Amino acid sequence: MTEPQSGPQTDGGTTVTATTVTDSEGESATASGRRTQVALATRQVGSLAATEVRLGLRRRWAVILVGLFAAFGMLVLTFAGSAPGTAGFERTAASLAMLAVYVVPLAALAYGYDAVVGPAESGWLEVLSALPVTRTRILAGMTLGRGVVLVGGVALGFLIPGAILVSEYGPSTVPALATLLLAAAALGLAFLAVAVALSTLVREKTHALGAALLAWVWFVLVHDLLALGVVAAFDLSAGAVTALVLANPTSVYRVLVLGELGAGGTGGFASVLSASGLSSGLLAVALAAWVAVPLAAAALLVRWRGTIAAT
Amino acid sequence: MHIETTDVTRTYGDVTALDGLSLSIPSGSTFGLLGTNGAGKTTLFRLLIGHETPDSGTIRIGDTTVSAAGTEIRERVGYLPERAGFPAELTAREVLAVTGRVRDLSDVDSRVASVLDTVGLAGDADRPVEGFSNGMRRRLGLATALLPDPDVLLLDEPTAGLDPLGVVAFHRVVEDVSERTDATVLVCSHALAEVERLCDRVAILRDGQLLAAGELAELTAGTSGLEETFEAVVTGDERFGDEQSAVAADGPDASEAQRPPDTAPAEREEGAP
Amino acid sequence: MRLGRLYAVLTAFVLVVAAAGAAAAPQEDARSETISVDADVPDPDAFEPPEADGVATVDGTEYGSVQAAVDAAEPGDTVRLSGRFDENVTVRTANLTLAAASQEAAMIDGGGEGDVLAIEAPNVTVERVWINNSGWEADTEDAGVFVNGTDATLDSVRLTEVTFGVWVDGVDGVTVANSTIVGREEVRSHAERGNGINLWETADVVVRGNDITRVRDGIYFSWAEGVEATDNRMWDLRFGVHYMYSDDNLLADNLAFDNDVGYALMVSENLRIVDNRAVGNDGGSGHGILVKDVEDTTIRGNVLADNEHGLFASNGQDNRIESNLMMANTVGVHSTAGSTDQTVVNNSFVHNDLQAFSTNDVVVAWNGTDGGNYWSDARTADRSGDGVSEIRHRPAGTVEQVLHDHPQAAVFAESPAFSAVRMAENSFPVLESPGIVDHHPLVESPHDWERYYADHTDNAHRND
Repeated sequence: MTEPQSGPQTDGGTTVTATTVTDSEGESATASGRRTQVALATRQVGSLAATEVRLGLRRRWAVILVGLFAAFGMLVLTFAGSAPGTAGFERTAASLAMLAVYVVPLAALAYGYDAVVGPAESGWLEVLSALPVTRTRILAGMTLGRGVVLVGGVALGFLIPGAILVSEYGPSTVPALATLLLAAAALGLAFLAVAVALSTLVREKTHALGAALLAWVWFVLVHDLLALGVVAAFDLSAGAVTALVLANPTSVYRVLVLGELGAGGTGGFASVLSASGLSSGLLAVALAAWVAVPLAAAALLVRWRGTIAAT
Repeated sequence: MHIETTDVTRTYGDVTALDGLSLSIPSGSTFGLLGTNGAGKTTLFRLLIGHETPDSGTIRIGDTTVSAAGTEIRERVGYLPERAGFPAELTAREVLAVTGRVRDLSDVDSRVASVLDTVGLAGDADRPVEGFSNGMRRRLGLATALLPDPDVLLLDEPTAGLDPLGVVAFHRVVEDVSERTDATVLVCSHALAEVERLCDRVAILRDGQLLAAGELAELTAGTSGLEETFEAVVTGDERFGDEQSAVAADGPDASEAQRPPDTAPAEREEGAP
Repeated sequence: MRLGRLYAVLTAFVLVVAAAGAAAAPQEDARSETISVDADVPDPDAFEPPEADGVATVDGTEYGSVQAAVDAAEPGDTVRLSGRFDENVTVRTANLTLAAASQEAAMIDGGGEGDVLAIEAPNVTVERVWINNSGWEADTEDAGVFVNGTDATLDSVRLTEVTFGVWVDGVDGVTVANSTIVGREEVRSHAERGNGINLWETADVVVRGNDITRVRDGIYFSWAEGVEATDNRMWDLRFGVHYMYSDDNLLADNLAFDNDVGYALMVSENLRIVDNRAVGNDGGSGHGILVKDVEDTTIRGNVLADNEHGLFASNGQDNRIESNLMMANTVGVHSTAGSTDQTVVNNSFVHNDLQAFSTNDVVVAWNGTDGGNYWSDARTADRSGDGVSEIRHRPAGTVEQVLHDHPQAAVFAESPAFSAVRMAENSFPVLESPGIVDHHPLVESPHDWERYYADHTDNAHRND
């Protein structure tokens, strides 16, 4: 039945076996073993993501997001009127971009807040955790699936107003609109990442919803207001202003898009940008970091969540 | 595949969930875990599937030390968590298919069909889980655990909250599975009758410590049944005061129980003699 | 799951197209839509001087020198010039006319010394003569044409390589029309350059239809009254037009572009500045119109676009600023504390980075009783349908103050935070911060501003 256990007892009590994270991958894997691991991880993440996409469609999130972005886009087009020439286009595109500052984060947070806490409350996360898959991969699959649905909502939703703008102002507007669309999608992903991180942190769905709304208020309104106050109260160095912008994904998005559209008005805007070292490249990287860092935090948190879940 | 825990201790802050638990569960047995609330049953399950590591002590399933195996241990273990749940918008078939794909099983579709048949959900396979009764959900959870033809099946409070019909249906499936396969089944339950009906061996835990363990027939000898035994054990009835001897009959070396408390428990490395 | 796949594939397709579209973006100037003026100004570098030796003809007699010809002429005679003369000429015969067949037919070259042509008799007319190469000294007022005779007329004259173009030296009734004045580009310092047309202690002067460039100030007024300056075009100057101590003048239908300041009005009263255009005046101080210590002046119907400041008003009293279009300037109107009793009404403020800015420490209302101004960024609501919004507009408040004091704050421009502060200032008069308010903003612009974006031409910069 069992082997005698006297041997191990004389080992001097060193704890030999995995004492770090439970979900560590086999580390003795050879190169080919690692390739197999990567392929397995891809399959696992892929099937979880596909399930999440399916759920996104069945829960009408895809339709809601596409409809929401399309509707708001059309609203902007209707109210912006149609001033002729490049200037008219820039104004309309800038209005579209500024509207996205409100709508895209709100939609991403609303869609993402229950990404982890939702399945945790329903017990689905427990079922998945019983499978031979790390929690990081579960998180990756769920986030990827939601990311696809969200980006699809942004892309397909802005397609209609975008197409109208192109037909109205000509094909030369495609690059600006494409930049706008990609930036809006990246903004959405950043807030999805924030929502997922919050979702990993809290115990209850209602708390996650509250935290998501607070995050929206903070990033969309309060942060810039405070930053404005700080800029007004102190003579900040260019580096500090840069940091203030980078500390908020909506600011990063706004500066990036206005800079690319050339519609932030303006001599003043452009010169402040160059003085602060806020190049398009840096801003794009910052936006990517706003996707990556919250997700990395979520990946750490979801393991910790697994540990405390038993208490 | 037999399961063996050796002097396993797990604490959460000031709370000691498992306190030097040594337990041996023979291959192919259906083993009942009884205990009061907070006795450490769920903690034991979480340790068994590698969600957590023991503070000290070793857990082995077959030849594998769980804590060293990472997620791989779950390839051979089917686990039905107490709080299992499913996205309401997925069908039973889809739920099973995605767990099968994540498990990287071959022939997922035919396995899913067969396991749906086993748990009696074949007729509801393509309905969304939304419309399922509690009993159907538990059986769907059981199906996710059965999908990989596991060597070890862990059932955490499998029939809690089910109506009598649901309980009966669930028990039929478990009995059927333990007859048809040589899987080791570990059932943790508050329902003594359930354990009495399903299990051939039983262990009784309190405050993370093993109070008694052995064959059901042995433990219930001289009492009216498991109910009386359980009550006697947890209230410290002297007839069962020497429960360690019962453990020793099929548990680890008795000397372990007399190990000086200041000796740090050692863990055995994978592959050590 | 087919639907999910379709969704994902569509999304991927849009993203790939978008990425390709964004990557294919020609990295052109982001502000390709700068406002340009439709000004078909001459290119000073393309002038061809005559080669032949000069011949001056009076009454059928030919002279090899202009001076000899004008000295021989009787009052009322016409001296006809052709070819090139190298001399400095002084006309002392009244009622004389100096004329050439065309601007390119006859040139008088002053050899870089003193005035090229000095008019010391009344009623002298100069037509289509090319005056070249005056002295280099601004201190001694070296000019192409020095006018010291009343009622002189210069028509279609071309003046090149001059320090001052035309110096009117305390005589009245002078007319300078349809002439071209080109200073010396190689003299970089404005202090060492002269002015295009320098009016000193004069009255009843007409300055009409001239093109002036590469001098200090295009038209300089000093103690000049009753001057009508119309239809002139001035570019690449310090100031296009510069008034000092000069009252009761009219400035209309002029164009000033690419100068430091389009029209500088200083220490003068009762000026009428009407229907002029100032575009792209952004060097140095950078104003479309600069108003300093000016009283009882009307600034009406001007187009001030793409300047640093459209209008900069400092220490003015009782001035009217009405029906102007301030468009795409860094600051539309900058008004300092000393500007009192200023009426600002029926103007359009369109797409200026900062529509208006005031250093006033009280709230100044910019509107009449019936209507105010059009603000392209104002939220308007016109329930009564009279074209006037019932929601007041704060073009200059906290946000503008912050932006002005801390240009860095521009990175937060157009953020929801900005909008929130603006909306609070518009909606809650309780939170009154110093600045400008328009109680009756106009719903529609009184100006056809779109056309300045749409129908621009590029020939304004032909001389670059």
